[in-house]
Amino acid sequence: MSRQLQEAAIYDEMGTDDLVRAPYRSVKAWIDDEGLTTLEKKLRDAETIFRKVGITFCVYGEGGDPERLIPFDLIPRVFAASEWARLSRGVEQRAKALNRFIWDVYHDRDIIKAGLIPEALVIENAAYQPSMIGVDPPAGVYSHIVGVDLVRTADDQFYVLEDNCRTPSGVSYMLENREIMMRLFPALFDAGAVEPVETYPAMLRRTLASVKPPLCEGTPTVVILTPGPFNSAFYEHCFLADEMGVELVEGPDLYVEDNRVYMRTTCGPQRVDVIYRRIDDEFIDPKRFRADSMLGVPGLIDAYEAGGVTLVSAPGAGIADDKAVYTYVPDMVRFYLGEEPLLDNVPTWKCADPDDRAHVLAHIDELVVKDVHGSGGYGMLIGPHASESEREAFREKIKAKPNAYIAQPTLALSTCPTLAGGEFGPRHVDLRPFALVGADASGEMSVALTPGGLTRVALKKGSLVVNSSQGGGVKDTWVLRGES
Amino acid sequence: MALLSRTAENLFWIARYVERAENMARLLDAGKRMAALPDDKAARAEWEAVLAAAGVLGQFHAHYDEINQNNVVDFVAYSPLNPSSILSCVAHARANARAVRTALTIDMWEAINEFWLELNARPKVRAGDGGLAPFLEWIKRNCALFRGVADSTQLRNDGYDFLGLGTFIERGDCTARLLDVKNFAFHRKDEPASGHEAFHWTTILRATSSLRSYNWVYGGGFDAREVADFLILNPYSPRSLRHSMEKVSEHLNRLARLYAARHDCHEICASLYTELTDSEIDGVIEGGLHDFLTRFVARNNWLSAQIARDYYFSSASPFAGPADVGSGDAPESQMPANVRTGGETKGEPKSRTQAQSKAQQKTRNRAVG
Repeated sequence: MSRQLQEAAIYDEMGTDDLVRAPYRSVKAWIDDEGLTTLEKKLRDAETIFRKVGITFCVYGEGGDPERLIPFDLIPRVFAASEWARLSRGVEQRAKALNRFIWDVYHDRDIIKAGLIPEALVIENAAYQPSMIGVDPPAGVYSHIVGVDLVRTADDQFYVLEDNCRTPSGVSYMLENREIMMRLFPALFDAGAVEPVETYPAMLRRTLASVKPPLCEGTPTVVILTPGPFNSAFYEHCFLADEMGVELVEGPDLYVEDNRVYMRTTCGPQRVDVIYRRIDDEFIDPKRFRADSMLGVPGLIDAYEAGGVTLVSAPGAGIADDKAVYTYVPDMVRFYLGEEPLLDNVPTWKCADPDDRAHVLAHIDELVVKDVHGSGGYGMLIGPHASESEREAFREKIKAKPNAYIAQPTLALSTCPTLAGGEFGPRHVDLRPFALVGADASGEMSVALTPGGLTRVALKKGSLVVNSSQGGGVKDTWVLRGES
Repeated sequence: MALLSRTAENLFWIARYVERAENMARLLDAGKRMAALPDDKAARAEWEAVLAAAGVLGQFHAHYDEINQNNVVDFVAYSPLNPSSILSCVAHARANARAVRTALTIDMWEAINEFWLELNARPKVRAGDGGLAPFLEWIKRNCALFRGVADSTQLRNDGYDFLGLGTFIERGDCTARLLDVKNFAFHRKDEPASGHEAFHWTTILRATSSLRSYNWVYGGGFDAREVADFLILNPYSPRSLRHSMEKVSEHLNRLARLYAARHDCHEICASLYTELTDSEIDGVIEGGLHDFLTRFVARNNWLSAQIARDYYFSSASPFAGPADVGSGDAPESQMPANVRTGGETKGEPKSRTQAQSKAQQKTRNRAVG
């Protein structure tokens, strides 16, 4: 694929002025109706509300105000009911396969025995937790909230960029973006044409309660465990606790006694059964992992293994969202579910493989090279946009540590009309829907999806990087109600 | 219904810090008036008294060579090295508020958040630029605003009581320290006080916004005994030790009813309060005002520490009170070391230590992505 071809083929989700795609017709009419001046004024209103309410994320160590706003774009991103039905089935399938894979890794390793995934990829992985071998989490669920990052390149072509199996963030923006759109433009939602997203907190709470630990009798007490106000996603932690009506606790609020977990309250200890933790594995239990962690709870893993508490997500769940493991997810779908994958992976070259590596080194100017352990858009090279010296530096890195890199073609991400720099212009977008994995009434694994997700948009013209830490913004995401 | 102990603790300290910021502003205001005397040496002594009342005299000397208005204002209003400076207090209050956002009303959060944002954006007051008085007024107004929105928007649940406890424990502490700034001879009422002494007492009344109220209650004149009575034993004075302890007692009793449990802190509070209601000002002065105030500050701190223990605050020391804790008569020597602070230092500030913040920052997650 030549670069000219790719750029010519960029797919715009709204379509063209002459031919507006069906799902966007009401949005297009609304944009024309309101006009640029009104929408810019409304955008400033929205920003004032966000700042006052304190919907910020924190970036430390870069100078300036550590509490920043995520730029919000008013033009929604829209899916037709039929498009969504396909996408959501694909996401559910993937979330299920990923959980089955993690169970397998910590039990019989059938998929390795079958020769589909190299053993080294699993046991040499930093996210692998040997102490989880043989541990059975309720309903076999390890990753209860799976964020699947999707991009679109054509009308019927979606690709999965990556899976987030640990503690994907951003769901508060999905909810707040809708909230602010409904506040600013109530008429848009009058006809009831857009599926509501505000059921998410209740669904999350049900999901968390459904995986109560074996030792818990009766209604489980659910809490969210946060690293505290210095964490970049602290606002989201507060927001979800508030919306679900559960306590937001920090490590020192909890302690373990006889394999049960308690929180300190003004009336003494109160038992905790399910912990939605927003703390990484290595910090969660100083007795088991990093001894210098002041964020975790000593003895928590012992209590978990004894069935006294459920951790969401389970320790070691990160084994499934590594960028090198990612390449095998379609195989997992076939192996565990006996189904064909509904969502495609981006074609990926593994630099660990000699043939693939030779291809990557020769075509680095066409490829995106990623550090398999990197996140947030850091540690990657976008070949076509890089200088020759940057490419050379990456060639050296790949030769020095081939295991650490994968490469993918530069995808022509779809664009969506966006209000930026005083005009409407197409900007590249991606999508993160949130799948909730819990137990159904019979104790079997079940997956639920809120109709919507977080659309991230690269506000800089031509940019492909949508990460909020690097100038990305967010949009409200609509799923239109189907004709019934 | 119970509250997460850390939430209760944060609410308690938000209120203490807001009250402390206001009292620091009042102290500076008083110092400025007293130091206006036409005598350099006297002015220096007044500023020294302000530092003593703020509980930061020793810390001040570690950072400055000379006691003058500029240095004192810098240290008491702005210095990040002074954990009780106005700036530190507002920053601590805001940090505590941010940590318990789910327990605050939106109005409370916005009041403290905007106070902090504007305080940081405001240019510093410099000597002689005439900005000190308006600055101190602005601080007092913002503290009043926070208490006002808390009072008019907060649910009357246990959170309300922990906030109230913080306000009145701190207020009692501040009033006692302010009164203890200097040792004055107490003349009989028929021997008029010297000009300087009268000025001193007037200033204390001004610093507590009580000059007019005092005149209403005692019919004018500056009698040292009456000023002491007004700020220690008078049940109508909103800043008296007795009123502060009455409010602490109210909040503790509400908690006892709500949780259906009484603790040691209830006994300590009851005995402290009874002592104030049963005392006469003549007796207090004859027994030595300084000793009385020192003892009050220590026992108020002890009460604060006992509240922390009884409601499982994380900063609560594992110390269990002396055997006769219920009588409230424990001699100072029997009190735990960390509450024997009748002298210089203020009650332990509650804020995240730097080490903790760093550890937390290190583990920051991705924002989105």
